[in-house]
Amino acid sequence: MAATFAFDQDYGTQTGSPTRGTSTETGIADVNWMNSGTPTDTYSSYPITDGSNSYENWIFGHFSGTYNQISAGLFAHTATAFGSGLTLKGTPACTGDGDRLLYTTPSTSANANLTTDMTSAIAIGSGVAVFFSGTGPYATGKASSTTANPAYTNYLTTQLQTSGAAAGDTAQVTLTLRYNEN
Amino acid sequence: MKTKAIFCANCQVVKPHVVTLNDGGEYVFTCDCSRFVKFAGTLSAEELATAIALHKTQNEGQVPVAVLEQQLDEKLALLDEISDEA
Repeated sequence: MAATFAFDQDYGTQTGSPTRGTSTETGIADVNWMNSGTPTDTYSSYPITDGSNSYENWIFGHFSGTYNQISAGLFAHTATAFGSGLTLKGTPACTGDGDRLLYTTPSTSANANLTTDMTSAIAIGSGVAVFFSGTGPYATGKASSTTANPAYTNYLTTQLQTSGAAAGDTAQVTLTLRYNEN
Repeated sequence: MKTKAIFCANCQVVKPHVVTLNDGGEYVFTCDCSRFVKFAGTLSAEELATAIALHKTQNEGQVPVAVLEQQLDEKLALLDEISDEA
């Protein structure tokens, strides 16, 4: 038997303590960077004006099914280059529970907490460390491994920032979450 | 033209970046490789210095996929130096 994995996405006004999104979209197949914080919106209707930034996307990994432990998480942009004038910023590495990003209401301001430059496709081994826990991506007690079921990663937040970008869709890139399960 | 030497995540070195303020009041540091990084325009000098330093520590050591693929190709090319077993 194996773990069942899905990417989910929190959105909406921040709520609760620790903070989380008002709403959650489960089992997302892709994530769009656009001038909207609602993942169900059609991205082509919400273009980013050059010079501005997308709303942040607060995605996270969600584990269920049958497993003993989830560990060794890494997150990175692993395939396909962006065009010029685009910078993808992402969540910092988790080296302790206190490193996990706290959810904030998505906005288009350059998020200073997204300190990882994810613009270039890199080897997953160079990705940022991801931590896990039960309860939710917002929960305290995140660690490099978990036996909790269901389990969640910390928020894997990204924001697309533009400066001199050409009009039109970006290339479709690959974001990878790698983990061990046993 | 204002320039400041900061770390470029693409070039993986500290080098001069052209600094501008965009319409949103954000600092935009642009490398000659065209990679840019933004910082909030509301930061104090101390906060900006901290953010710039953190940008370097957070992004040093990234191995681009192209470099990894080249390393793998070079490893496989070693096999060309070995004769086939008879």
